[in-house]
Amino acid sequence: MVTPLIKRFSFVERIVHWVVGITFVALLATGLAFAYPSLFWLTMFLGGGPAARVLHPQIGVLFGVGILFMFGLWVRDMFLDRQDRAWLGAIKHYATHDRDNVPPAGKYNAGQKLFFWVQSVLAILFMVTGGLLWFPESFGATWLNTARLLHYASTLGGGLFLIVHVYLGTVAYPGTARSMIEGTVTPAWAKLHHPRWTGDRVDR
Amino acid sequence: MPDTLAIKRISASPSALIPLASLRSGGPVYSKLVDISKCIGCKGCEVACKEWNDLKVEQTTNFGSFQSHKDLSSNTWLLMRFNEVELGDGDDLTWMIKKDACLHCEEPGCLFACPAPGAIVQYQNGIVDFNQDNCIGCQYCVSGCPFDIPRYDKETKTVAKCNMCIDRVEAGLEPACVKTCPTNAIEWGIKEDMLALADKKIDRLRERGYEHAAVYNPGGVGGTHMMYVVPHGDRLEDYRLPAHPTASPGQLRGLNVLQRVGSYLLGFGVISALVHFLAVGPERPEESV
Amino acid sequence: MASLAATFGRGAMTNHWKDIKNADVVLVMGANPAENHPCGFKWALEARDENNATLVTIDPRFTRTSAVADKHMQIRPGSDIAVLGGLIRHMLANDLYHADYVREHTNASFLVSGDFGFEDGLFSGFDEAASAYDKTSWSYQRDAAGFVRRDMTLQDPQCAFQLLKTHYERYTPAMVARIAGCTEEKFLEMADIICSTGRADRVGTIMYAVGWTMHTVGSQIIRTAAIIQLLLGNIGRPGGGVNALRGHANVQGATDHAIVAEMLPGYMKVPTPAQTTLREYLDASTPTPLVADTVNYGGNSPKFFVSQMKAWFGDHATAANEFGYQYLAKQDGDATWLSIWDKVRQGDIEGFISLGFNSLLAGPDVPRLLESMSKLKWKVVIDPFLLDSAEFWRVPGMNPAEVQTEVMYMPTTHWIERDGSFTNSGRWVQWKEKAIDAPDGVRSDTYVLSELFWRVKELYLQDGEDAVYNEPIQNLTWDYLNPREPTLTELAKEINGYDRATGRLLSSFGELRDDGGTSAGNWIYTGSYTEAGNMMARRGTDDPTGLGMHHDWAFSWPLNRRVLYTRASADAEGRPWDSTRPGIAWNGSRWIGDVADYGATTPPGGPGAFIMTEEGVARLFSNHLVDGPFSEHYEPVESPTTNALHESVAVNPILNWYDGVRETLAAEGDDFPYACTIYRVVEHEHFVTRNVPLLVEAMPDFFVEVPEGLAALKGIENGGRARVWSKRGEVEGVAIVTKRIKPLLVNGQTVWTVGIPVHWGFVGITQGSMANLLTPYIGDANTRCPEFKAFLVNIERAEPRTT
Repeated sequence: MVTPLIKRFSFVERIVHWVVGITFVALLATGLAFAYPSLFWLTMFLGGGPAARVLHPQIGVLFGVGILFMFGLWVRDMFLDRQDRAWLGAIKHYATHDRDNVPPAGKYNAGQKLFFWVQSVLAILFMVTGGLLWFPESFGATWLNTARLLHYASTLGGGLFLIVHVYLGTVAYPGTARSMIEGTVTPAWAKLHHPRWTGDRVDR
Repeated sequence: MPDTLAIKRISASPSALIPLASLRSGGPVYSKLVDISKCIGCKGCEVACKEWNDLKVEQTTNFGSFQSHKDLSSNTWLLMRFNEVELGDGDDLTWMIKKDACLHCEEPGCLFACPAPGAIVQYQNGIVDFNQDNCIGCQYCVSGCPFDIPRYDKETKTVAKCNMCIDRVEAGLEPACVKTCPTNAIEWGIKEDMLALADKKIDRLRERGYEHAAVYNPGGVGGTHMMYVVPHGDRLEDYRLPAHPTASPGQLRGLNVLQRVGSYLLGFGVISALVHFLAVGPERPEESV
Repeated sequence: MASLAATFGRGAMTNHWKDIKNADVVLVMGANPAENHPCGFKWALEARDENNATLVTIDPRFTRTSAVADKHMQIRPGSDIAVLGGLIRHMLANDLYHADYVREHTNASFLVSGDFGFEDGLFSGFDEAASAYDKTSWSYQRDAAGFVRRDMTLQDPQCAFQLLKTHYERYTPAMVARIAGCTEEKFLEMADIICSTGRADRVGTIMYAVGWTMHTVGSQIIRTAAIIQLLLGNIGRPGGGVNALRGHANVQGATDHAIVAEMLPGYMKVPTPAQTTLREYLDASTPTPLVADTVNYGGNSPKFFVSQMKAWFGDHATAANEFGYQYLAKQDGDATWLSIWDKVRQGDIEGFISLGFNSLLAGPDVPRLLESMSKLKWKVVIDPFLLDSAEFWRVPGMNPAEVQTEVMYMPTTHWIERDGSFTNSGRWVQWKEKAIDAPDGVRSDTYVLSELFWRVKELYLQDGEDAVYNEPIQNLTWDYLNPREPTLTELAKEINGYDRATGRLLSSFGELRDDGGTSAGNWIYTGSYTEAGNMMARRGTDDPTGLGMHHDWAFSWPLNRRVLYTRASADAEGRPWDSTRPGIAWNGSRWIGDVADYGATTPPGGPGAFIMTEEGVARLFSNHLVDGPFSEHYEPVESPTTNALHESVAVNPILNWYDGVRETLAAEGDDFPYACTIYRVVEHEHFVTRNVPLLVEAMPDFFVEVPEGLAALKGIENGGRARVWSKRGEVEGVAIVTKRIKPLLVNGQTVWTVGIPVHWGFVGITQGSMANLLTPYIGDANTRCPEFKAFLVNIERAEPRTT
């Protein structure tokens, strides 16, 4: 018997996600190259230092556009409700796979929702500070140096989030990645992770 | 034997943090000394700089000043700035004429700020030089410079500034601006000698009534290899000389710390994921209901 | 320069560039050496820093020289004599002059004719109809032997010293302030600095340039400075002098070689039609001594003149034909710039060869000049650059179709493309090497002029018997290896001179003879190219005196002497006034130090120090200028105020008024309230460097310097545009609104000064208004050097250009 799959992400959602994902990785790689001389070799992937310097802000624009779309697509679903707050309170049970003590999540659990909001804030920071650094002649040294500091701080946040995001989406929770590749998930995965979404569990 | 160009620091390399020791200790460390009280603003240095370094002629227009360009550019590494200042009562007019160009800091903020390995090199002799072949055009050096000197070239997408005529210095000659200065307002020599000369000049200036005369060799950047004798040492801002320049402004120091912490933090993130995986393992949905 | 000769005997910078470092006080007035002589100016700064000298500037503007000076005083353009006269009064009233020096080395003790007088702005002998002075009363009292009567106590009311004192008594600090617009306090502060050198152990120098010469009273301004330096005992001494700063690298050389119309090379006078024989000419131009024991070196003039004729006409100049005297053109009237163009205007001159300068921009009142120039049938411009003067027919506003002049342009080498010599301000004749090759097709000046000569000669030959004035052309010596293009080395040797019997190059003008046995193209250069080689190319840097004399560097006329009138650097006994800065000193048997003025073994106590004057001393009172034995303040022909000294004689009474000029001056009722002066900037060399991109970049545009307050009054913004117009023309350019020119209180009214640079024209990579559109067609009474420095204008805000 073939188990019927559940559609989780539309084609558009997936495209947007991967635009954001791939650009972010490229940005992170070049950004790290600019931050750490020992990683300067990373610029080679984009054609060397000068090319990386030119491409980094342009890719950044693409990233920004992606994030904007993403925001538009998902923002409706991203407001935390009462259960989400309960979910957050039980986050350690979630991390230890103690499902019984994890309040049921809807289409997105509270962690994902928070991730969404933080990434949105970081994106704004990236854009503003990146814009400053892109056109340095228009600003004074103090502004630019502050921008550099904030841009890097955002990178740090974004980088950490990426690690968590990729880890959770791949090896930690098998079956997750396919939602962003094929767009579908198995009913079992859905029941496990988002029972309120599938209707397996309802609001109490 | 001509001076070798022994390297002291290279941008985006460990030597940016810990300077290389001179292999031949006691090599000459040079400095220019610009005696503002002797400068007549003839712009001979400006022209000589362009001629020697093959810099492009720019179309200028008079903007209500004897000053040729409004600002430095990637093709104008040296600019005479003119500023009319009334000190106290109206009779005491001073026409401040200042040679604006790279000061060649002992602790070069540009080099510290530069992310491109080898784009900025500091030599043991004190010269800080930009190597456009390695420049990525990020202009971090511009904001790293406390004196607002490096300028970006939109065509080459690189940054340029005075290189102290390093090719001349290597051949045992003085920089072109020094050579051409008709009043010897720009002197060139071993830095210690220049400091001694500056002291002498300041004594004479004080004798002439310039009680605040001072040498500009700011400690915040470890001293500079172009120093000024400033007649009105209490009016540095009128000369566009920052009173307390620093090679590492607060934000960049913060960035440095954050970058070091950050590298551990990111590593910690990866390791945490790994530990989590090993500790609790993956959570697979039970496919067979 | 005329006035230096009138005072000292020679019309040249008395000292030399490097000598300025020896001064205790450096007064810069009528000059802006930081801008116009930046290389030489280093020595003024060296004096300031290494010799603890005080450097002061007096100028209508706070200049780049003022920027490095200790003190600056702003004055109204054209008020120089008032200020300098005030200095004379100040030093006499306060006993600040160098009494021993004055008694020993000047004509202070000479008694002047009782007929001499001065009243209401006029000296005795004024002939209103002729607009000239009869100088008879400006003469010395003579004794039976024909020598001048003297009073060594300087008490006789007719002695030059007392007359001087009386004359300048009117120049009180209050009067100076009233005329010049400075404050009394400021003037006295400057006066105390400048007059501090009237002592044996202090010495001061004056640096001046065309800021003094280019006035209707230019010669007399310089005369006043010369008097000051004599009273202070600063002439002949290292660190002293009246130092005329010459503009281009070789202006001194050009002057030495007869660029001035009434001079032959070496400052010999051009013969006049009245001098019909050589004898008459020589008698008139050879001075006779006025005191018993004097060198009167001018007595040797016949030797110099005959040697020059031998250089020009060789074997064709013989005793039998008065050494070719009749070959020379005799000059009737004057041939100064203003007069030449006036003759063109009258239709008396139909062709013009313009070589080595920009004949459109170099003179005043360009609108009038254009009118004259358009009357030429032909004009030849010989220059490295195609200048404005070669394209005068297309000056903006002119209709080229109406100009019938045929203009020919011949590109010639620039000096940088040739070897040759430069004579700098300090009379150092320095040989230089060629730096770069000339472009293809460009020929040297010597080629062009030789070719001209040969072709003219050919034409004369063709005319045969009918040729008028044929002999001088046919008999002119043109004896060069390549007669079509002599080398400059050949010319240098010819100028130096030979013993004609042996062909030996001479080493001193002392060897010149009046019997035709020697030749010398320019006697003051004899010794510059000797059997020992090219003295001008010497580069020895030894300086045993430490005073920067460098006798082994190049050649300095006369006779490699570095400071003129050096005998005056020592007292009657031959002891230097200041042993730390000796010019020459008598060591018991000979003079040591610089090259002595007269015989190195002639002991002190004999002839006077100034060997080029008939008096043997320098002249406080001098009848060698046409407009007065002393100087007097006269207003510029356009002045914002009346003459505070004598209202009825406001301007120099003996100016030469060319036809129609009075109508081109601001008259009563015209609205030209502002003083204007024109000048140069360091970035440009006259009109040439408008062709040099790097220098155009350094100073790109024509501008107008406007004082802040005036700009506010007129709504002119810094960096905006301003229009300036005089009765003659108008200019427009970028406004530089500045604190460096202040309003002055002159004669009870506020006077604003506007400044304009001279470098622009309508040809070249930067173009802008010609400053001389504004200037008046009037010149100095003696030299006819045009008044470029003080005239009246109006000014308004102009709208931004819409190009």
